[in-house]
Amino acid sequence: MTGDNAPAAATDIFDRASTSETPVRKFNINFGPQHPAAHGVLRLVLELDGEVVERVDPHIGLLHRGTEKLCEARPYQQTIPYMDRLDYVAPMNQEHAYCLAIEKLLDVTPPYRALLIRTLYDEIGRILNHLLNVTTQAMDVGALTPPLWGFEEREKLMVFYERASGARMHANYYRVGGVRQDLPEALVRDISDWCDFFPKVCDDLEGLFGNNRIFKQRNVDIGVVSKEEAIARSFSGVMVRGSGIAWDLRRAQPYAAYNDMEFNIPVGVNGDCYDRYLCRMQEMRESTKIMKQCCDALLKTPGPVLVDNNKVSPPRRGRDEALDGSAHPPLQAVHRGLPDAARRGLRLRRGAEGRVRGLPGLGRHQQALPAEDPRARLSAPAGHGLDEPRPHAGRRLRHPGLARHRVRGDRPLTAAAPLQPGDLAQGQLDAYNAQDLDAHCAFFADDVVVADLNGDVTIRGMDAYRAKYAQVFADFPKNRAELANRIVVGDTVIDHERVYRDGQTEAFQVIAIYTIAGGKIARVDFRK
Amino acid sequence: MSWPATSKQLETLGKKIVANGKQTFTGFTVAFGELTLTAQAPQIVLALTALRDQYGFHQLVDLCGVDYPERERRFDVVYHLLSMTENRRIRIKVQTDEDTPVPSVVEVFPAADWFEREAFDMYGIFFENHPDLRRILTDYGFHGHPLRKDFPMTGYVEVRYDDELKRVVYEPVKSVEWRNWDFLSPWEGVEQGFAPIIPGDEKAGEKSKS
Repeated sequence: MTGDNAPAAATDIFDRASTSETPVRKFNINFGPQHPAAHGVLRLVLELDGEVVERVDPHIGLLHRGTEKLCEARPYQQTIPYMDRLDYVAPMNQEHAYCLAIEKLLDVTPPYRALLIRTLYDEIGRILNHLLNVTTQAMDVGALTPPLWGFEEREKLMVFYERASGARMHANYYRVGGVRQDLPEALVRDISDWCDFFPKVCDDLEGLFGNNRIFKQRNVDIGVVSKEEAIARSFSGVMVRGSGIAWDLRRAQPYAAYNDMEFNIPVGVNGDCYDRYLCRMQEMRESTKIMKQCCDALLKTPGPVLVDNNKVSPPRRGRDEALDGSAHPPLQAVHRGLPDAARRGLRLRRGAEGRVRGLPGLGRHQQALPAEDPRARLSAPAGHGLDEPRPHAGRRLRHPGLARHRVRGDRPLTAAAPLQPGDLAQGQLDAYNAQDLDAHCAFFADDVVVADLNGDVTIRGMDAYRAKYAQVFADFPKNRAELANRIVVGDTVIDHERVYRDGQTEAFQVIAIYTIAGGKIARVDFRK
Repeated sequence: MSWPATSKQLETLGKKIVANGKQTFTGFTVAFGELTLTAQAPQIVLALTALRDQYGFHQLVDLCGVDYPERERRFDVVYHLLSMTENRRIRIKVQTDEDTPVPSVVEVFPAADWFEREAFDMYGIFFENHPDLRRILTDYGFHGHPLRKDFPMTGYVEVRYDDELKRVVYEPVKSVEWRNWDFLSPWEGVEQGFAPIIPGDEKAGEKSKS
């Protein structure tokens, strides 16, 4: 090998004994873009003096995907999946930052349960991140087992991602104004159980390599960053805390539900790689505490997980509200993009060539237009402002894309159409409370059987049934039954009802087991 | 200090900064609970030094460009600062065009180095006295500045592996047509003939005639 990069000639070795310092030529070597220790696509052009790296020229753009450019031409909702791809180690945290920006522009506050869910999943993301970081840090200095142990836990956390959103990584779960759907109780309990178990894993990991001699040799006093440097270089997160600055956005500028959480902020002393490792380990334990608090709160706080504002969120399936006429223009906004001045600016500022000429949107490189931006106002044709009333609002009902979003209207349920078991039980109850005998009886089969729980039949056949309830309605004109609980299992519906004979005071409670057959209620078992 | 700051507090701070630096700052606005200062591009080093040394905004969180192609000076350069001690954030904007360089603030905030390279790469904004103003994110041999609004989303070249040449080849993009039609939308794209005419829409035309 010849040239500048040729290794020192073999004769140098023999000279070493006679000379105090052996001149070593500097090497330029290329690292990456594909390299197992690059943890991604990173290319470094290195200048080495022996084993010491003297200069580095990082080429960081090999994974640049033009996310901001893609976001220029899409409504906000459609760009949330791009945020997942910014950091596939903790995707939901990226979605969160993006949603927070839009929520600030729209002045939308998600319901508290959504804030709890976000806090929970942000901390899951933090642990996902730290687990990857500390264990591959150990791998980079020579240990193979830590990543295997760490990734086992990451896998469990990604299952929690999957159970909430349907995806292990690219979750697309956060929404402007909340999250896409509620967490099942079983999931919250499983996460809570995991929180009880995980600190043991942290101890195991620390026992595995935290005090290992090689790990310490290669991390203690390596990569020391002073406080001043940390600030001058715009560090944040663990990178500033490792240098001894107690700065944590969760505490200093709280978002989501962090204000209500108890947690400590670990801070390093020496600002080296080892302190940052210690911070991350401790932060995972603190995150587990936060997750535990979120789980406890979630089990106690039922409620919506998305704002009830159809300008920013679509109506929930099964919500018993009319969705026609005036309710639709805002719904249109959900499909077409959000109603704010900036978006209006984008959608309407098209050049003659048909290109979108520009939203300074919300990517990292883009500034939102101020609400009072004169261009947005001047260029918005009348009737196209999404928050203004629209002419011909009704016509959109005929649009096939919207028709599927119609849910059953605000009409009371009737027994005419084939209904689900739960609907049947609710329909008869509504008719019962309305004292509408015909409607009530229409939910029951002609050969309906009413029995008590011992099996003694009290009513058999529709004629007897009708006569009985005609009497009940006549005797108690203010009669009212209130549903306390309902269980639907296949064709069986179990209702727990409180009955108020005079409409005010509770007369008795009743458990009714409705058995459905042929789209009608065929049998009722009562227990008063 | 308390978070978030009220608009009143931000206005007080903005007034104070502008009053104390009449040569440097040209004005301020408070919107969405955030304070934005404006300045002339040649004064940016003075402005950031003052904010860092007198007001405690010791960290440059972000520096980026924004493109307003219809404006004579089409670019904004936006600096986001943070004060950890005061728990405040501030934003400062200057304007420039394709040819006029903005003074580099690497001397004030070392973190500006890569940020300015990025703004140069993405928008073609020049920074005077930057130690190493090279492209940072785009491909080797890339032409153009992709975040300018007149840069097409598809770009100008595309890459594929050529099995005959046994290497990756660059070719001009074949379909540069702006594909933004939308079948779900009742009103967009009709003029291009993409979207269906919704039953009843023809009545709107008749009505306007009569």
